[in-house]
Amino acid sequence: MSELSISELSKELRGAIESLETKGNLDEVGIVLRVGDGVAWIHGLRSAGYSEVIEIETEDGITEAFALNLLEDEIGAVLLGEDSTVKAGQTVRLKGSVLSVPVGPELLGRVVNPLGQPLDGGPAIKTKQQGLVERNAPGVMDRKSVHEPLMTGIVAIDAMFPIGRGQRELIIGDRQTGKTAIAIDTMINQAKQDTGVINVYVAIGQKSSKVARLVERLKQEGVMEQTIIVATSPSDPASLLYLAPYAATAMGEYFRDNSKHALMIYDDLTKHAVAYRQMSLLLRRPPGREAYPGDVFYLHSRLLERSAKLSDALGAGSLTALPIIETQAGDISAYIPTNVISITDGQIFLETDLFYQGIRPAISAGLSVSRVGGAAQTGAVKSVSSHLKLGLSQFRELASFTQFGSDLDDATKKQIERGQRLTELLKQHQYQPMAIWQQVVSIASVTNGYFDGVAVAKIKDAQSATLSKIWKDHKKDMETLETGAKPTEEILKTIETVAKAAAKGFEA
Amino acid sequence: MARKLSRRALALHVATHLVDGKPQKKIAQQLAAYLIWTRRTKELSLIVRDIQFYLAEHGHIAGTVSSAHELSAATLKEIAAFAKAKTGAKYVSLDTAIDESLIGGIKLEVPGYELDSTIARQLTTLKTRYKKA
Amino acid sequence: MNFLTTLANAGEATAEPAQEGIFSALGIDLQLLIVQIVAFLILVWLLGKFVYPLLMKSVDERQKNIEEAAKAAKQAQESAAESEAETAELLATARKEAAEIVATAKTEAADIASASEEKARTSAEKIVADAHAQVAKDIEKARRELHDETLELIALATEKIVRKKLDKKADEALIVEALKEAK
Repeated sequence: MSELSISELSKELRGAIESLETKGNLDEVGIVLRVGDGVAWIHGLRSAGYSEVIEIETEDGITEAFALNLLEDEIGAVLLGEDSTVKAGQTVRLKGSVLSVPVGPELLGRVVNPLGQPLDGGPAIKTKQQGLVERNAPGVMDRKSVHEPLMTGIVAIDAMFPIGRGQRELIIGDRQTGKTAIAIDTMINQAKQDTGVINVYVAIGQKSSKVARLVERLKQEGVMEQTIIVATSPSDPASLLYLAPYAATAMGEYFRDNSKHALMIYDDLTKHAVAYRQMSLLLRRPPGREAYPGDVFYLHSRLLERSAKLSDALGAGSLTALPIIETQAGDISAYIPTNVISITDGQIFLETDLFYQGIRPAISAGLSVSRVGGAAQTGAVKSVSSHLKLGLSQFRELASFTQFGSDLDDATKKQIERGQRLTELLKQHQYQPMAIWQQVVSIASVTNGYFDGVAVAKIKDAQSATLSKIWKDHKKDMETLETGAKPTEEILKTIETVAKAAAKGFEA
Repeated sequence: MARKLSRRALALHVATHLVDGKPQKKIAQQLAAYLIWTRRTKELSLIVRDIQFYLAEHGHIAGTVSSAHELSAATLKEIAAFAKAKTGAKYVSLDTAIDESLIGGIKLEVPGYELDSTIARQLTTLKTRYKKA
Repeated sequence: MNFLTTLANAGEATAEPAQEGIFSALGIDLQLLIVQIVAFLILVWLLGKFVYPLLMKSVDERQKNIEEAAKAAKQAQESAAESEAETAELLATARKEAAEIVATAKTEAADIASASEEKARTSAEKIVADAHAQVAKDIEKARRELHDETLELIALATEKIVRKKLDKKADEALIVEALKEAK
């Protein structure tokens, strides 16, 4: 609507007046006893169920809440909005349903809050379906094993810790180590490689400025049309932060259940646990370790179990999850990190030391793992990456010997030099995910020794020269590689010639 | 220290006594004494509500009808009949209250339930539920 | 020597009367001449057997050395010429490769330039599109606010009128009707 149509407006107003129910019903009611810290204590409503939505009639309209504490004398309900309008003595009615959010393709390209209300200034979200916020995960027989790759576009991950569709891979690291950057690059790659995977990014208590910048970047890269952003700021009530990942998962499940593929990014679950702790303590539930409530494991396990690869009978859709956890001082044996590590199918561990050494993405090849591994790796990348992981692990063992320089035997020196080149190869700029053919060519060039003569500092230049040359001269072969099939002898020979020729220009 | 008796338990106890026809004064004194002893006098109004609820379960309803104008006896009888029919109670006793701000219609409050067909509520609903911004 | 002189005397004694006249007229002592000829022949034979071969050998050797030196010099000259040609060839190949690398770099640079141009154009288009979208959003927002404001005014007006007009009888009629419809 790009004009102010008065007739439309008056039609809507007439409709509102007509639909105004003139009769009331004898409804079950309760009254608000006291309100504070986002929790309303209610007397009455004896038939309210756990997690049921109740409506508090305030002067400014209806404020919704959901009942979490069902005590003998009163109900503790967590408010889903501001508690400034709720007063003691106000009437409370049952809505008659549990929490649900609008789901459907109408959400694509929008920024919403966990209740489905738009935050991007656009029109209200109208969908045909509503999805339950709390839902059971698919059972064992409803699933299929993970076998399709989810390309992140980051060479280090796709080569050594490949992620499959339906897998949960944790991204864990200290603050400012590039956790969100990995998630963003993965989202951009889905658009760049046209994989058809829908992205759902959940910002749990992230600064609004950060989310705004993210939206801008996604729009720039043309990713926004296949992304849904569920955003909560640190100033939102803890109940919204608690609900955000569940509501977003409900939106992602719509695509999973309709034979499509979706990617969930939970940024980050540490803030989620903290919000839940706040809610639990205000509901007077007994605190446990680190003051977290006793069911903080269940909080995350029921969330992440909903990410799955469905069987062919149910449409073979998938929901992949990339939860993010922030550690303090690299302590991955704290309470929440260990909980989530035991739930997920692997982790990508980011180290501050590597980050400051200039190795970005700062992925620790030793501590990161993907429990699905080769089953979900593209055949092309799989064929060239076996030596990559081995070379890096050997290099790590010998890393302390690099200071000895010329006092080493030739074999050790060779391993160290190869390792240095591999490390240099895995460095990647942000917002530049790489296609399958680019990854195969780059890895093959270094692991087969074509770049052994190139100075370590010039590896990236040699890589880009090789890639542009090979794309120019052998486009068809590269397009064959892009399909993911194992490269033929011919293609490998082509890579060898082009790489060696390009390497000549960057010799040490 | 003994576990605090919930309001429900207290209310159930009092309501059972009243339904059984035991003397009201005695039970009222007992309850008052208990509340003073445990320093829970502030919860009295809530306990009374709970007692009313239990009494309603046993078929004795005590409710309030609020309206903008004074209601005729015939209308009150109709309202009482309505309340009886809807809640399945045996005895219904209604208090009346006049509240100009309701503009028109009635608000019937019985233990645990409410019927609000006042014009004031409809106007508030119009203003708030159909809001777009 | 004794033998020689005896021989000379014998010879002299026999040849003396016949040849006396020619050789004495020439002044040649025939006997001495024959001895000298014999001595010379012996000398020649000695030289020929011992000295001449040695001499010839050294001369031959020297000749051979000279020949060899000449051959070596020629060979060196040839190989010098050959390596010069090789160097020239290498230089030519290196120049070609360098030219290729420069060409690739130029292509890459051109690609980057055109890519960033494309990007700039796309973002310019995006800015325009965003501005349009923002205007549409603002209008939508104004519409919604107008909608809500109107609702408030309607409610206010209704309240004022109903308050005035609704009397006891009408109210009671409405109440009875509402009771009938209530669930």
